[in-house]
Amino acid sequence: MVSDRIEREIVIAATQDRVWAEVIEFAFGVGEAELAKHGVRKGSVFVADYRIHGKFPLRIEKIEPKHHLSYRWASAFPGIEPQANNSTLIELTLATEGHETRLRVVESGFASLDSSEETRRKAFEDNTAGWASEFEALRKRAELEGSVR
Amino acid sequence: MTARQPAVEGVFAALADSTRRRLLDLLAARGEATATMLASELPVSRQAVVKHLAVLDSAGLVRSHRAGREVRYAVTSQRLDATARWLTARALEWDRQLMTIKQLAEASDMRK
Repeated sequence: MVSDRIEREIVIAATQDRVWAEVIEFAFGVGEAELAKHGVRKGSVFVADYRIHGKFPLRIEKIEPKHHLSYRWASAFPGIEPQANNSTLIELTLATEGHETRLRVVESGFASLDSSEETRRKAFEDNTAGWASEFEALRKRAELEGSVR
Repeated sequence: MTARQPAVEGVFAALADSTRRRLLDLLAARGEATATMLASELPVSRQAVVKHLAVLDSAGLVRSHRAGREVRYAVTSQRLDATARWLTARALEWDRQLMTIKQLAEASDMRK
């Protein structure tokens, strides 16, 4: 039967601190230092700027530095705050295993999306494109840093 | 019937209810059944079964046809299959994202 969640994980040969830094960049589009200025905590809303795809308010469900981050976002609606019926929950969990770090992601809540199928399809396409470009930007920045050092 | 993309969230919502999941199981086992036959195997009224079947129908999970005075229902697997494919695509997208996080984290660890 079809499940209402996606669960994936990966093992990374880097410290949990390093992986956490990348997770923050991925989710919020800013580094840890910049994020700290906003005092992000459970219940607060941070507007992540995903460049050409728009600005997305993320509602923090839980943030436990170095260990766990979960948030809701309405991926189909740039600028709109996440509600129960327009958003999915993303949970990112880190755990040290020897010299490596296991990063697990769970995305859930598809059953509660009550948008039209066109909106749903758009959400998927936007998500895919948005994440791809977000990562592309991260990669370029990382390469740039690498060449400068 | 138009050739539309799967209404994925309709499928998830339809499957969120345990009675509807049970109805799908029964229909899959029997091939075809009427609301009366299904109600006889479940602790709910025929009216409730008809309502649940309507939800499954609008999600594209069952189809119905009239046979004399009866309406017979059967499972259609197309929507379920499409939803499973959609989930698979989304999971693959997460794999790509996790891989990118891995590459960035490992690259920056090496630079230290």
